[in-house]
Amino acid sequence: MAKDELDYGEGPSIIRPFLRRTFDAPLEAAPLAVDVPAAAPLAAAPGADVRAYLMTGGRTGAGAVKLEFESMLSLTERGRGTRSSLTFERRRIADACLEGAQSVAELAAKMHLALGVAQVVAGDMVGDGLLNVHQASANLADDIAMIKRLIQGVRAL
Amino acid sequence: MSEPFDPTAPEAVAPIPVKIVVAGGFGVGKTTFVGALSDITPLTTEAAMTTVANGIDDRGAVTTKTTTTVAMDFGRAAIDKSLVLYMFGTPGQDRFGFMWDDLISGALGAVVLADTRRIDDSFPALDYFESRHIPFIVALNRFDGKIFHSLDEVRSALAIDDSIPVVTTDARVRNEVKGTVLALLDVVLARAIARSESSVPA
Repeated sequence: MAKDELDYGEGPSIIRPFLRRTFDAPLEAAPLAVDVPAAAPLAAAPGADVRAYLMTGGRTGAGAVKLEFESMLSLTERGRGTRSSLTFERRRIADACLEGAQSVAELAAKMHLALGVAQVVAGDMVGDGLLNVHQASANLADDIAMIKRLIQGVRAL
Repeated sequence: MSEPFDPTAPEAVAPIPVKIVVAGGFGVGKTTFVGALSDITPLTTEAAMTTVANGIDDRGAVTTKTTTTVAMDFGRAAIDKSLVLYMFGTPGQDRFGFMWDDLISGALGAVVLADTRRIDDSFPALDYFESRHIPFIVALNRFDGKIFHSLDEVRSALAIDDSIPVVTTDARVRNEVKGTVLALLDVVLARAIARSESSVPA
């Protein structure tokens, strides 16, 4: 991976301090107090200082393009070209995809993002032509040849 | 809606993912199950969760669970050059329903992993998959090689249709997990064949 002046992944960075814990520490390292009063739902947001959906502009569900958790993402030429000008999550997702196609779930796990957040941000990036999606066709469940191939493959594992 | 797959593009090495879901109560062995077949150590993702679970997660084995996120573990197994199987392990309690629709979207089917000593932990998952017509099987995880009830007793306790396979498995043993996944894929295949036959004009 090319070292750019903005490295959001590791090391000293210019990340806004209130975001840093999300990026630098696994969630387990930042346990919430157990005895959060039930009447304080905001305090019970995902285990970090920043509420996850801040990154998605408050949206849940799908981004511009609906992705599955297992959808594989790869950088488009455009994504490759504009990578260094992307910000925050977009940049980190693009960087992660430099090494090869990644699923939404793997991106979420590696970046310590909630699944729904990765889904929305990456979906927007697909919509903006930065990422390609590789996912099974919607009628996979009726694709007998594909299912048979899968069965053979699992047998051979 | 997805970009057309262009095999000449440099990115074309991306395999097509297929997904199955492994559902079951806390501590039933979902992550072990996924890990047994996965090429990678299962990864953990979090989905935000509301405070509704506060005070509920008090089952003895999981008293250290203090976060308010739902951990969902997953693994993957490369099937061939262009196909990769994703396995998502998900908590089976009904309070996680908020993310199940997302999780199950595009899934081929589900394995409901059950512990015969806490069989009711699997009820929400059964209800869910039945109501969504998702192909699924029930797999009883043998803890220390023991099953505490006969398969018939379990089937009767679960009140599931005779067409739903109930198998035993050992989540720690790769071959057993493989057999369980194959049992699910047989159901998936049988359904696909039945549908294709019923859609052919007589």
